[in-house]
Amino acid sequence: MAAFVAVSGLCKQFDDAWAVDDVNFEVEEGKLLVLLGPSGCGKTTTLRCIGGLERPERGEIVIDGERVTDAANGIFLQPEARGMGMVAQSYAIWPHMNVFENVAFPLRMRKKGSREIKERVQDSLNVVQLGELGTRNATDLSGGQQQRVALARAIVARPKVLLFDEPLSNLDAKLREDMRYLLKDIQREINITAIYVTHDQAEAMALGDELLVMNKGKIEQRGSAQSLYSKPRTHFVANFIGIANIVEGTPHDRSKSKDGFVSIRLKSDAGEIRNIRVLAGSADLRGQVSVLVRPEWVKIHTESPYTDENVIEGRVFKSQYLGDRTELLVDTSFCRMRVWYDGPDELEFGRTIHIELNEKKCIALPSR
Amino acid sequence: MANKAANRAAAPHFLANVRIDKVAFWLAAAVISAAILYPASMSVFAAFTEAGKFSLGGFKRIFEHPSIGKEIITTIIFASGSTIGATLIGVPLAWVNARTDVPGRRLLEVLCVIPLFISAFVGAMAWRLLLVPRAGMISRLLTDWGWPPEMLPDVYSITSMILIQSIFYSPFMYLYAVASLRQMDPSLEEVGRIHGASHWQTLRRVTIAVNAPALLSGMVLVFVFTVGTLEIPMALGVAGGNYVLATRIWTLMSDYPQDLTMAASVGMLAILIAGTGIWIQRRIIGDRSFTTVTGKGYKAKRINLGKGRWVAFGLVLGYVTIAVIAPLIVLVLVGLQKYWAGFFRIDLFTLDNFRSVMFEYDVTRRAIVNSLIGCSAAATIAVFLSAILSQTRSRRGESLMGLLVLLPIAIPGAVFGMMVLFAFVRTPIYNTLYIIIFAYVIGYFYLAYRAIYSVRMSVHEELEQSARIHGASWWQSTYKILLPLLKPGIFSAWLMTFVVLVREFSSVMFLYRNGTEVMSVVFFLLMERHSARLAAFMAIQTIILLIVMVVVQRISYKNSETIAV
Repeated sequence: MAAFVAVSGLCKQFDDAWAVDDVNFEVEEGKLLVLLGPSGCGKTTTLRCIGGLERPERGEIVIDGERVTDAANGIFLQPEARGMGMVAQSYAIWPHMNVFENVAFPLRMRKKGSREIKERVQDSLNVVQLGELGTRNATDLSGGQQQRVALARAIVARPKVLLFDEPLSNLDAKLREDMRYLLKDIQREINITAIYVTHDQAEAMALGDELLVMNKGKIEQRGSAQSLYSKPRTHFVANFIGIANIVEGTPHDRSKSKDGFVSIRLKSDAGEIRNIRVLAGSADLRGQVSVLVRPEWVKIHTESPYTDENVIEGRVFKSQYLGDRTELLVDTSFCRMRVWYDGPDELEFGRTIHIELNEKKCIALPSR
Repeated sequence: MANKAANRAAAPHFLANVRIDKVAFWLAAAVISAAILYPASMSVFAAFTEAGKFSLGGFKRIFEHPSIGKEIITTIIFASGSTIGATLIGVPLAWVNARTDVPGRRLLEVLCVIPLFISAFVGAMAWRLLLVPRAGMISRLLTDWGWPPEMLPDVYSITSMILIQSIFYSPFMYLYAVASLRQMDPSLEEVGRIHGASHWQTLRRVTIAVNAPALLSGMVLVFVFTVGTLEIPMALGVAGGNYVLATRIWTLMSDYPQDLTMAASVGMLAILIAGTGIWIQRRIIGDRSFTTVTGKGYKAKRINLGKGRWVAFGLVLGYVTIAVIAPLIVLVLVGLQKYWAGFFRIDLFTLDNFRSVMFEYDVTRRAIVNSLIGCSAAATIAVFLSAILSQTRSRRGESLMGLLVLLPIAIPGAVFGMMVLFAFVRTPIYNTLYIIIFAYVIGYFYLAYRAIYSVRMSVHEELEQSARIHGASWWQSTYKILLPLLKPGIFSAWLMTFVVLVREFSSVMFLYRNGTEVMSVVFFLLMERHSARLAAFMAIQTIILLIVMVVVQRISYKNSETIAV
């Protein structure tokens, strides 16, 4: 399937620093792509370039076959000519218009007839479940309602692409979750291509067909939520999505086994040596590698297990009971690890436990 | 037993239950309302009585007056024209400074409000020197280049009056617009662009519409100011035969025989015109205020003008130079000449004008002392009252204050001066500086109040409450927490009020007598007699203002360095 949105070689400079540095990606029609990253990573700038709110120094952007930005050839389509919809972080509800007029604005700009406007605004408001609020003053609405008005306004003119700039970051936690489901439902229902910027990894994983993790203006990794979580290719991605324990080690072999595993030698500061077997992942096995251990990728043994393969010994430093699990902070000779334990025992401070690493989950990464 | 003793020891003094802040608030509110309502009712009384009896004679004489119809129309044209002019100057300046990446913004910001510190009198005199037929610098240049003399711009025409008034009142529009534009969430505009609106459509349908309430409040202020202003109408209007209601009131009050009843009636007419302006503003915006809507967490992104930013810089600088600075420089040059030969000649250089205005003309020194005492006393009282009145956090108190603050704004300056005169004509303070101080405080109270109120609102209530929780009494929390936090704001409010009061002329015109002249009056007295001395005095006044500003800022820094956060 051909790409509906294609961004290539995008570069944007702010005050001598590259906010976006050679970014390339494509989005298929009807899919939702999430740009994820910490503040200042260039995700919002990328979104604004697509919307035409920023003019990039280099690169090109093609939407539905139309070249809307092409720095090399001096092509830059004004935002209003790009046929987009947008939900801004601050909602950007116009305070001088009522709800109906806010939603009707994109249609009025497209010179639609008043009957069509009336019908489509009502449809849009129904979609976001605000059917009866048309005549209300926009500023009398709650944050969640304003958010819905912004969404109705963004979809009313059936834009080619829907842009979301951290739309949920101003809502409280409960509302944010509800809106997340609503957004996803609506995007699927009207089958619209969308690009969604957020710094919240849970939001990104719940919403995105595909995620794009950005750092310092560059793309770190692209993939589904599952692949980013279980097979990160860099320290940054491993740390940004989920909780990461990282252990440094040296591979035994220069290449992975046929079934994709690699044996790694860990060495503690005191000189203790232990061999573990983990997924080879994307690491270069010719030198030092890092091993990623997620808190739930382990099995905790309170007694010494029958095997010492892939097992690391440690002492409980802190434990916190959370109902469905106990969060443990464990000191091992190799590092301090955060792990989950769901067994029945109370693991008090100083207790010796055995951490069995799941070889089918733990994965080697390129060393930092 | 022990319990009882402890109870008695802990029992508060009966006065501790009296909320001193509330008492002070209602006291100050009562004083202010009386001070506004008393002069207002006295002049209504004057408009409807003659020789102690009810009479409609004043209105009858207005009706029969040969030229007052034309004066009403001139007033409306002058006021609406100047409002539109000040808007067309002030709002684009504000937009460039607040929303674009124009270089040198700090310099431009200062330049844009310069006219605020200069009497429109001075501006009018400067333009007169440039444009007066034959002798004016510009008119001479133009005639030398072959411009037909009958096509020269006429400085005494209503168009010139409007233009100069617009230039000198544009800072008010600028200040209102710049504050509102800065508060606006820029994504309101961006979302407009994304959803299909062009630059111009966004400017019209979003930017201007969202800022309309602030712009209209600024416009109504300029409108009422202009209805009641005497400076331009006296400096240019009288000579050109363009009388307005303010000059008519002045003539009725000062020419022999006085007609106080008719003057008061004309005052009612002027208030009617000003009130119509306010009514139109209310009709357009209702009671909406859009400023409460601000998104959080947005970065105020300035519009990138590209190379155009230097063009914008040049335009702003060029406007301020041509419209404000150059005429004033010409005026100062005139002050340094034995006589004005149409251009500056080094062989005519002299300091005589400065010497005579300072040392031979005793009104000047009196006026400087009177201005310094009167304006600082009035600014202090206004700031003090504002500080008390802005204490209230109650809704009822705030809406009452909103009304009280609004009332004097609705009364045009010249009418207000007349009202104060009516109110105190048979009291001991008539003919003293006190009556001028009174007019200063009441007429410009809202300036100080607005400034103090906004500072007050920025100090979160919790800061005081937590002081109370931690054991401070109301006095202690006010003295130790609130006042130190308000101090920088209080000083700047004082300074702004002071500067504007020094410039105030229209109401003082009715209240000064021999011995109570203030600096703005000196300009009037020198206007027809000696423009070179007027120029010299303008320079002197500017220096005095600068000294006051530096001194106040010094004191303010000294007082606030300990809480520099």
